[in-house]
Amino acid sequence: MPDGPEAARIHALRRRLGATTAATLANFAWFAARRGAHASALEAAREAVALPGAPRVAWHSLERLVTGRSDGLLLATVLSPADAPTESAMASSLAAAVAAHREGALAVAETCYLAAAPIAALSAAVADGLGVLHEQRQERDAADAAWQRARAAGAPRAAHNQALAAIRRGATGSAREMLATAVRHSPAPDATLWFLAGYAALLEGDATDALRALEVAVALEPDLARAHFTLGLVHDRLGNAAAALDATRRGLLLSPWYLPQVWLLTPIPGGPAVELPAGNDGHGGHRGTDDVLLALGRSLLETGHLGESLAVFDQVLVRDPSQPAALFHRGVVLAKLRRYDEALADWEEVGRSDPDGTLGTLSRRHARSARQLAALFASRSG
Amino acid sequence: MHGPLHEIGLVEVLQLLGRGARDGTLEVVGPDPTAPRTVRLRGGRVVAVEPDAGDAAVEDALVARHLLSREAARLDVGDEVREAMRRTLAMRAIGMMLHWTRGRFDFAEGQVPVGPVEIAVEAILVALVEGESRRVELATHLADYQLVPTFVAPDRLAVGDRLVLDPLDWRILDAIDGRRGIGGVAALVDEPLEVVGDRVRRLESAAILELAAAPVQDALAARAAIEAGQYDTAVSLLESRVKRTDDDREAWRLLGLAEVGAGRFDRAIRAWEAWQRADPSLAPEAAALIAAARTMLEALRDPRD
Repeated sequence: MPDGPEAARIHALRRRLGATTAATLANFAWFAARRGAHASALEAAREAVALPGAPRVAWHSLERLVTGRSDGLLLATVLSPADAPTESAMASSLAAAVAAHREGALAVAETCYLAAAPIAALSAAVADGLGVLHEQRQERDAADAAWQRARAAGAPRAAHNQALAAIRRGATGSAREMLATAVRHSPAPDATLWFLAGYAALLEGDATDALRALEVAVALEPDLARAHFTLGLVHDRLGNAAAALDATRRGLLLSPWYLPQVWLLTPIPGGPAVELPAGNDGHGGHRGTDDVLLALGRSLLETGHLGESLAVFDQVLVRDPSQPAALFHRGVVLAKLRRYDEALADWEEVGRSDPDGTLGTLSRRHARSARQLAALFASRSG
Repeated sequence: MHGPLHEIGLVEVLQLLGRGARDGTLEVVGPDPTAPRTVRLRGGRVVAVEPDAGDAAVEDALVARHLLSREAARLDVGDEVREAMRRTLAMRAIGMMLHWTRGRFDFAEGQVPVGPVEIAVEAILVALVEGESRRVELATHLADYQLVPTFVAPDRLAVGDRLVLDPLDWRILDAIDGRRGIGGVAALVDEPLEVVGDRVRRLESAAILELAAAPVQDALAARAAIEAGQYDTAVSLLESRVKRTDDDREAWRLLGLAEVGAGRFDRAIRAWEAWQRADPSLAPEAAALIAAARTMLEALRDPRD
């Protein structure tokens, strides 16, 4: 017999089971016997066999227990229902598909999407997810066909995803048309559509239109980091240094990364979207982040925050040591800080790497001035 | 169709065979070349996985789960339970094989008779992804499965809603000793972490179990010590851990790692052999590490010995 607490525990568990089935009593007997509570096990086995439909393992346990043996008892099975796929199992296939999709396991994701496809309520989200997946694999015809099905079935994010695909394929004009239609027909104002419309406008050099769309996006969803970052770029393009700084700082408060190109996946119809960064193979990735950082650095420079500005350009140059714009502007910051030798080095580097570009020409001119100033400082200190 | 697993994963292979509704035999050799697997497909569906879901493996699994006795043949569980177990083992084996990135596969087209199971490839993949997602999700709630389940006090245990417990619940309750964490319980009952984690949470909400923080986070401290290059400290922490809980698979794995760090390959081999016993599902990985440690041991042995 087990000691006090264990005996009390087994007794309490038996009380909790109350008047129960023969199978449960047989299983309790198995448990009690393994815990050394032979008497409790025997009593439960006796109760079990007294009930109608007692499983054979209850008799087996009783046979052993009455002869003083506690080993070799068995558990009575309760068979689970047949595991044919039910509707809810197939619904969870969609969630599994999105989970695999986010992990980049495209083959698994595709299989899971297809498993969820037979349910009518999921077909729109499935088609949209497959559209993204095919696009990632560069299977453009299959992607377009999937999005056509998704949009016909009313997938709410299909227009966004298809427009993003158009942007990534270089068809920004057609993406803008698609987004303009989607924004008009959207049942409720959608910040992600407005954001993408603004982003596409910026890519096409239409900063005014971009500004309008992005202001709507941030008003609809103040936490949409990519909209704030892009707004910062637009203000920078329009020469509004203070507004660019403000928008970029808001973006940085929400996220350290500028990821303008994001696929939207739907794990549960009607539920929130799951974001999947579109990767570095298109116009997104580091280049996007660097664009924001450059805009931020320029804004800081223009508003006189030289130390912060220097740190931002350094950050870009850590990743890409020959980035001409970052080198050029860092040179400007360094010159303003009267660190002429370092400014000279940056500008000379730009002059070498981009000899015929605007920055190269400007850099050579600046470098001449810096040399003179550096000489001046040298003679003064000498 | 054949190729190395580092170039084409088994997911893609199975997907191709499933979509093509192919009949044939897929031989897969993973990290342990001495333990090849055979998967038979009929109409693109998996109908047999050997030896993992063969008759002997099914019988062993039922015995280990206290559902079958080799002594009492008359107490056969019946075909339904047997085949449900076979299906579970087949799914689990393929789930393990899908993680293999070393080894090769060979598919030979040919007629395959109706098999003991019939599982669609997508059902396997869906179950695998769901299981992994659930495992990650539960890990955050259960302190990486380190929480220690204990019975609630008898006065609380005796009251409450009527209980409906199935054999797995009883096996979990049997594994509760107040020292073993959820991970240790899962290893002991040889069921997936997420399945045991879910059951433990259900038993907790039914006021049968309660969860306590692991008394000492030996594994965490040991991992930090290994990272800091303090291998002897890690060994000492892990040895005391496995002395208390000898089925803690992660502790055995780390102990092997720490011994390797300290240059004691013979002791590393012993630790990884214990890991292999504690977690047979990871036997191929353990075997690969043991083989590597043996090679090192031989390479470093003084030729004059």
